[in-house]
Amino acid sequence: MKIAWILNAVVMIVLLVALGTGTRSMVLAAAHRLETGESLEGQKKPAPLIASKAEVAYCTDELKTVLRRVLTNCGLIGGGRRGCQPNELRNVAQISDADFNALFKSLDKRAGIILFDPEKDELDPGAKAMLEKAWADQRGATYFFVVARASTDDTTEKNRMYSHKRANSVLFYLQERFKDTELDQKLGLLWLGEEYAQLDQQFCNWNLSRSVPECAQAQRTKGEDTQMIKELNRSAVISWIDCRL
Amino acid sequence: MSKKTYLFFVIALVGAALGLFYSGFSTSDFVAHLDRQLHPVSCSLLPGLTETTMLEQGAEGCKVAMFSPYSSFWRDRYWGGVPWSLFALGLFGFGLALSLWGIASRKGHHLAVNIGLLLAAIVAVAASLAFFSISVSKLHEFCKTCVGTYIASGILALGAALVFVSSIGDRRRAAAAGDKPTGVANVIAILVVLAEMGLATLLPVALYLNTVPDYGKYVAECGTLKSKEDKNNVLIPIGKPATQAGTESILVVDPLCPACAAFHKRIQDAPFASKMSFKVAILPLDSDCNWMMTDSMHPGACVLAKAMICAKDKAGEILDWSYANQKDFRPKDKADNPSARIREAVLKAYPQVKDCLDSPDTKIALNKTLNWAVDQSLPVLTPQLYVNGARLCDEDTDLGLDFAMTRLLGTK
Repeated sequence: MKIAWILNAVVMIVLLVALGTGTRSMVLAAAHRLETGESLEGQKKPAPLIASKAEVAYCTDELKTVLRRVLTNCGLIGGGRRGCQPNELRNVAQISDADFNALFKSLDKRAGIILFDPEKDELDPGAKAMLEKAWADQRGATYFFVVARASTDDTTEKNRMYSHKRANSVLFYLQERFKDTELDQKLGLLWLGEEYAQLDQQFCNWNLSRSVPECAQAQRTKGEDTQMIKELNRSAVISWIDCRL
Repeated sequence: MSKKTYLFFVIALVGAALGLFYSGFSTSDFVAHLDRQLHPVSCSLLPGLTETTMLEQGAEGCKVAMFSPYSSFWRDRYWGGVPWSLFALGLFGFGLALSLWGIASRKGHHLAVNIGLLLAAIVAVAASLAFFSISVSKLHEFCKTCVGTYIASGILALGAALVFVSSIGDRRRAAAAGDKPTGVANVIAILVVLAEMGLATLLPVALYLNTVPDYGKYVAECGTLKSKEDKNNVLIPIGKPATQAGTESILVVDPLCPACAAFHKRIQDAPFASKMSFKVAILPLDSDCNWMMTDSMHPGACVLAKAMICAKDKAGEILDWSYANQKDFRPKDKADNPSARIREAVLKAYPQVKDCLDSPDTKIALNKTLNWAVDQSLPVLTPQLYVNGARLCDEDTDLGLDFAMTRLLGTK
């Protein structure tokens, strides 16, 4: 009988040791992985993407440099007076007309051109619709640019005034329609008059707030039409800029 | 001891060995997750002999069982709680050791051995019945490894019962031959066997509690919101009215994310939910409106997000409806974009949002929600839960949920 109970003790001790060491080693192995971050499968967990503003392919260093200069000098960064006038802008941007337009050409899918009647600054229904749609499509962009121009029909002074008024029409409509308290921090106004960075025929392919028959005509004849250029420049180019500045 | 009793002991031994095998795998799978990582789960009647992968559909039942609140207890005190399978491990181990001893010592017909084995079998069967009924009534899934344990309990019970019956004759014959223990000896032997059973069952649990690391420091290291301010009113209140305020909790969800649906339900059903008031931040993982996504993980989620914005105080209802219809809203193949289908379904179920769904103001409101995520530097993933500004770690959304929430809510 004694031998039987000794055997019992042996069997039970073996069991308890096996259960104890098994449980302990499993927990300790997990605790080690917890402490060191090691994985059983040898795979490192990828770091999650962090929510951020947009930065798309067209955000070249050149574009960002020009935009930063414009934003700093035209009141959006660091506060101060809003807007940039044509004679200032040439100095601020520090690039030629052609280079200025070339930088913005990569925005062709994102931007729109609001067209105005000669010597007018009122937004027609098509312009309003385009503006609302464009403004609502902010996505990850920080700044909304309005670059107003004028054709060469009038005097330089008058054209400056028209382009200034056109830029303001866009501003006032957005203020009234959306009542966005942060609008001032988002919207950059530039009025270029007739003196700086006039739009050329290539801008016929952009989203226009209304059709320009001369554009279609010019595309058919593959020639440049003076009337078309004037139409295109009685305008305000609007676009969100998907760059982290 | 008769040959018949030997044979019945072998049956009990097989049952106990099988039980030890299955409960060992269950315990091992559970304990592996104590590192707060995700691992494949053994879910087979032949665990260890088949390869396990994370995405194995057949393992779904075992995952459901393991992550359910029924797989362990004291989850609010210990990360993941104490797995019930640890008790099973000890109990079947005891059954195995007692059967081995009964056979080896030829004293298996003694009353103490019979009672010990029968009691272990009764406890195993009772626990199996309880967990089986939970699988049927609560989980609606069957875990194959658990089924293996139920079968093992049955075999152990069969063996133990047959041993008990067969031993009556053995004891009578032994008594006639002069081998009859006294009453006191019987009582002592029974007490010793029961103590062994208690020790075998409780020792793994005691060692587990003694070895398990302190998770308190990990729970609070997953960041906080940069600001609790919601200046653009992008967070949508859901659930109980604001008058019954609890700890402010923000759920970051995508209406088409299956993990969000499961997590949201788990949180709402949890006992601590009564101490919380919920707001939802919509983070659709759909490149149609979310510029942070290169590809849409959940195409069509933007439509549902806009519908929630339009629905205002019924946003919670649309979220629940979206969760419920996720299967129908999934792309049918790689080329399928379900956005149009989802739009149609939304307008059919909630015609009142028709004029609002595509308005610029709705688009702006959704954009403000996404920009709230940018301002807070949130990870672009769902679901996320912020309790009083502190983020619940992704690693704590399953087994560690009760433990982490108890600490985030400050109730511990």
